[in-house]
Amino acid sequence: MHDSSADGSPIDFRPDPSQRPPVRRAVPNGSSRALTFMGILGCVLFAGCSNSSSTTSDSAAPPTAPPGSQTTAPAPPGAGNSRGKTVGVALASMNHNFFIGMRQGVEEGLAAEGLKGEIVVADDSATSQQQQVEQLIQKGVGAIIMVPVDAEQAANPVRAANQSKVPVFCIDRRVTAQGASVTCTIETDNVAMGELAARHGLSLLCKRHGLDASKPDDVKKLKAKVVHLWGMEAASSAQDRARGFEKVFGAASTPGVTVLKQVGDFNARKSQEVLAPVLQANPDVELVYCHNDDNAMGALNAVLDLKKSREKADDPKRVLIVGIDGNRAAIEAIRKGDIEATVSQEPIEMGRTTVAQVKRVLDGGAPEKDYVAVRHHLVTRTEAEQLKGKLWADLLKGGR
Amino acid sequence: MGRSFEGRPVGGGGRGVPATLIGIACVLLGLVVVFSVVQPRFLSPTTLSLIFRYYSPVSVLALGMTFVILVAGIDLSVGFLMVLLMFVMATAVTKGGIPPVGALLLGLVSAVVVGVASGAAIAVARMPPFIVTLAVMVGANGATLLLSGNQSVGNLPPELLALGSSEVQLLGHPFPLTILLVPALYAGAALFLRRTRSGRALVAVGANREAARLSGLPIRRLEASAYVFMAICCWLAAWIQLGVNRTADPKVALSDSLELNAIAMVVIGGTSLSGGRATLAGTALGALLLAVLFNGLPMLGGQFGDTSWRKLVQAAVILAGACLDVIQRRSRPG
Repeated sequence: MHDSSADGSPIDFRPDPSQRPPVRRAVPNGSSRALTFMGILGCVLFAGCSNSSSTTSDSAAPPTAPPGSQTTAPAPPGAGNSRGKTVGVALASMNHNFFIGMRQGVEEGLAAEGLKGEIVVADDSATSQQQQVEQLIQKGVGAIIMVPVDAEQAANPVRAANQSKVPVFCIDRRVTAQGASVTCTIETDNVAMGELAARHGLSLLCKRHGLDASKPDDVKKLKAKVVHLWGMEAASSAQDRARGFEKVFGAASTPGVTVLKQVGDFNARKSQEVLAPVLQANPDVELVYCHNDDNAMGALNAVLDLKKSREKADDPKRVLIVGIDGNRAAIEAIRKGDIEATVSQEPIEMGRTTVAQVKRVLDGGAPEKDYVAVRHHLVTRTEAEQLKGKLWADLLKGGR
Repeated sequence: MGRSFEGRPVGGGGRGVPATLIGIACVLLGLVVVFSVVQPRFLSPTTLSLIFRYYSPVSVLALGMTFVILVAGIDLSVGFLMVLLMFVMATAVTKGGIPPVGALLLGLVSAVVVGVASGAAIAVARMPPFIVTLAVMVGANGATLLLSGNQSVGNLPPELLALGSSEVQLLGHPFPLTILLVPALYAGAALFLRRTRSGRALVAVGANREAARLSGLPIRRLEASAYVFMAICCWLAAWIQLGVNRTADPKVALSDSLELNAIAMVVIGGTSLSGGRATLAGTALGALLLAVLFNGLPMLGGQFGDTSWRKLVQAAVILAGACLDVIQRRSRPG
């Protein structure tokens, strides 16, 4: 289909990895210079203050060569065994409470197991993550813990690690590409979390309407308007949480429920700005289902902007808000009675669990399983009080 | 390009309504009609209230940006600088124990320092504004992460929230205070450009730097002052934004590009990117157009809930504004 030589479609100027070594062209022409500039600009914009400062020109065109030609330094002889006990940790970003908690868990785990760690952050750029991981391999780390920025593009660094016999552990997100072998994936089940949050929202609605949420016939009678406030549409976590929502709310199970879709980009300001007009146009909205707690905090602000204050928990006019993640601001809002509930993940536990698996492998063993699902649980006002001091939102260091 | 700066429309048009404003006003009116027909609840004071609540910060950024673009510059840093100033003020109170008024002053002083530095680099050292402000943008983002640890800061004192959350009663309906503040700022700035010697000198620098220099104007100081004013606008926008979100949120400048939206508001309004021609009434209309669009699209529901359709409509409206501008200008040469 895309063979340019066969159908005469636009010529690909990139060096063909099968015929030429991927060397940099000595004299770039105008358009490739522009490309390089845009690449550098992109790096500056998206890498921000990342730790990957040693990379510029090569980042303009992501290497397309097969993994064999990627390794710029020869792997140490007998790679697997002679490599050190330092663990390379390649995080996707620090853009979220959740990742800060995860980093804390990894650091605590490393300290507990007596391992050294080298942590790099890619600031959501798959290209800089690839370079960071390749640098970690060159430095001779014994294992790599990675939060892949992109499920497809992360295959490249994983293959490079496979070549050098460095075991890779993925947290929070999977690497889906073929031919990239991950030793162990540790994550929370996003579909199940989405379903749990949606089910709690449904049970609150049923209670308000005098119906029994456990009886499918009762649920079919429910008439209500619900806003489905998405995260980033392209993120797999948002898609999975949407799938969880659709297991609960759908034409078959809840025919009387009108679902209004909006996109809040996992961003509180954006969520506030898009939700307020929706609530103004639809004053009969009863539930806002949010893909994460940033969305939920934005939703709370939007409700406050229109209604000036929050009705009591049992007031039938109150717009119910349910979020996911369990971050600090949301837990505080739940304790104050401003939002109904969140489904808490356990990022700190996730980080610690991952390091425990790494330790087993570094000691010559195998991970317990190649897929570890870390627990998640519903936090309403009751649990927020009962579990005070035990929720990750309470255990998170720094901040306020 | 060779024309002198004197006859150019400045600050809303010295001689009648500039042609470009008619085009943009038509698009705005069309948009309001479409939204009102599809969703009758759009025509309500609440809509106006939401628009001024949510889009005042970016409108204030657009006000400063008009001056920067007038002197043939550009400022990419405004979104992230605004967020940095939010955290300078918020953490000064919560971690530094500084009283709220002191924190506000600290924010203003920080803004002026950044503005003077950028202005000096651009006007005195003659570095390209694009690169200087790109560096400030990335640096401001880094500094924000340092200050905030990427966590939002809540429980702010009322003084920090006042500007963005206070309300006034107009015709029996509550509106945010910014419905008075922002138009007053625009009017003041327009008067400054049109009626004061400094304002006219700024236009002269933007129109023809060499001619302005030969006529004895302090071109460096004038050009730099545009960036200082821009930074002060960032501070004001930061103060408003704190009240809008009731918290300092490090992710305010993510998801939408505040700097590009501010630049779009200015350029849609008819200000020339090559400098020397600016209309604040145009920027005000451009800001209103984008704000109405951002506020109205979610109301439509259906596929306009999706990012894809929303962005396509935004693109169409921006292009429509630009096309009408070109048509209007072609039909009235000179």
